[in-house]
Amino acid sequence: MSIELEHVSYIYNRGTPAEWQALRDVSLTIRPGEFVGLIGATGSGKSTLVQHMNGLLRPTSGRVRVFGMDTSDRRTDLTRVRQRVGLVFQYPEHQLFAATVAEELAYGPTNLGLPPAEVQRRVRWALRAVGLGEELLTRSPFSLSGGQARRVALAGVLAMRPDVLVLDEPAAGLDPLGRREILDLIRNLHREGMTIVLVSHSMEDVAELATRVVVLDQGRVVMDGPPRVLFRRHRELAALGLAAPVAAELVDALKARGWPVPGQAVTIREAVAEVTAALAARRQAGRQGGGPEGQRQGCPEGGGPEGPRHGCQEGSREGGRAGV
Amino acid sequence: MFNVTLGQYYPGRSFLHQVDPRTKLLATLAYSILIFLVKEPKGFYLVGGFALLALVASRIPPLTLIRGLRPILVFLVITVAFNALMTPGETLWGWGPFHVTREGLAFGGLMALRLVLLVLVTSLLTLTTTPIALTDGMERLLRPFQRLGLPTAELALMMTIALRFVPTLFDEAQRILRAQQARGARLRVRGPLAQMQALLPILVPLFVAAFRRADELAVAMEARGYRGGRGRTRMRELRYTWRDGVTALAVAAFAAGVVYLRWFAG
Repeated sequence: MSIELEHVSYIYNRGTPAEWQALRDVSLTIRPGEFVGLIGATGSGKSTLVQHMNGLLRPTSGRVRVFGMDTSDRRTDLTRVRQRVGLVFQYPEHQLFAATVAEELAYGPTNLGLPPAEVQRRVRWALRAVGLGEELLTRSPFSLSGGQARRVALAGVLAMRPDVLVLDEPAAGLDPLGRREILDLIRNLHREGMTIVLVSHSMEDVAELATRVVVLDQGRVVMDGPPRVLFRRHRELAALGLAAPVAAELVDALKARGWPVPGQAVTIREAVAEVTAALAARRQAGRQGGGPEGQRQGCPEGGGPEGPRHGCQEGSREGGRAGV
Repeated sequence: MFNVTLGQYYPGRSFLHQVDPRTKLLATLAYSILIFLVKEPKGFYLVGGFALLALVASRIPPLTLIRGLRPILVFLVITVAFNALMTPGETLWGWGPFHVTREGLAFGGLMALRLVLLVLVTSLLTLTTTPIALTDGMERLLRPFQRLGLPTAELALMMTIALRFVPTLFDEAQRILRAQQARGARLRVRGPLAQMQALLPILVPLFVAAFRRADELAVAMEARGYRGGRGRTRMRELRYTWRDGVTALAVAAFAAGVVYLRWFAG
């Protein structure tokens, strides 16, 4: 097991008027190779939780074990914990400090006490891993574009060669292309075997990337499961101040209106597949019943067995376009 | 997440809380001058009594106030020791070249008492006045100096902004520290040079953040039509009330007492 949390509670400013319980009895296991999407409304405890994963915070009660190392144990070398679990904070480019990108990337590995040759090897590897060229090594990190700076900051953590990468809103504040690039990068890291924990407000991103979704509410884990199952529970999600991905909402709404869709989709691509399949099936049925004309005639009158009239109208219009 | 209050404002609605900040500032200033005019024990009943009165009028738990004295403890001990050893007079206790004299002990004691009272009274000012009200009060008091070219409104605004952003930057520092710790940063290292270098990864981003915030704030202020202090009105107008009259009378009576004891009594 990579990271095990057992009955973890955490209280900020204990014993002061500002006392605040951020985590309540959280038990969670992150297994090797998983891609966990961590979601929850603002203030649900996501940031506090991820800081327990590399020993930045230690539980007020309960236990956190990272690759068997207990973070509350005084004998545990926290630098080793932080080497194995890389944590990328929100807006990580705000932590850049060095004169050159090379120095910036060398910071983590140097802190691990690695020999200079190995540090250099890792600097180059990390830069390549985030898809940047070596010509940037001598540049100042403050002269980079927003997307580049974010990738350099990410590389700074990757250079420590962690087994688990925890990212807090890695795509926040980037333009669409920058978002795409960062998310593709994370997907590739996962494919190459890295365990990923992704904190995100974007259900679309979580639906597309995660193999498991964990939902936090008021410091508690309230849902935990595969996205395909979890994102079907719209009402519960809405009650928590969250929403299912648009694609999931769409196919479920269509299904409710009598469309012959399986209602399994959680990503846009899956939704498109379901809708196109349904339209193709319908066209087929229409042809069998006397050509496309027959379908269109059948629609306005009472909606037929497939459901109410409204969905049917939409369907035929879309169908026409898809057919072209 | 980290609730940091700058200064030490103690929320409340006591008499002293409701006195105008200008009155409190001037009264504190007067007290600080008068306390150094007092030379004899009788006078100290007077200054001590005034401090006690202010404490009662503030409804601050005395323990909170006394806790505020901790930082000056070392300073007090040095004051007493220095005076006791350096003042010539009747030797009470001697060890080699060092002589503790009666006069020195008395003088040192009085000096320490002055310092304690001074810190107590100025703490009462900051405990009963929000930083913003304090800045407002200072601005109004400095207004006459505008004619001499002192940009009082701008100075006050600068101070307000500085006070407003201290907790924000504290949060920011905390976040940066955590982020660098996640990259294996070690803050406790040997040697002053190494120590400086260890702090750079925190200080550089902190300064960058401060400049970024300053830029954003400047744009936000301009967007809302800020164009300098001239002709600006304020949301909270300062107004004197009967409480200020009472305070002024109390201070005047106290001043008269001190002056009488110093120059006219016995």
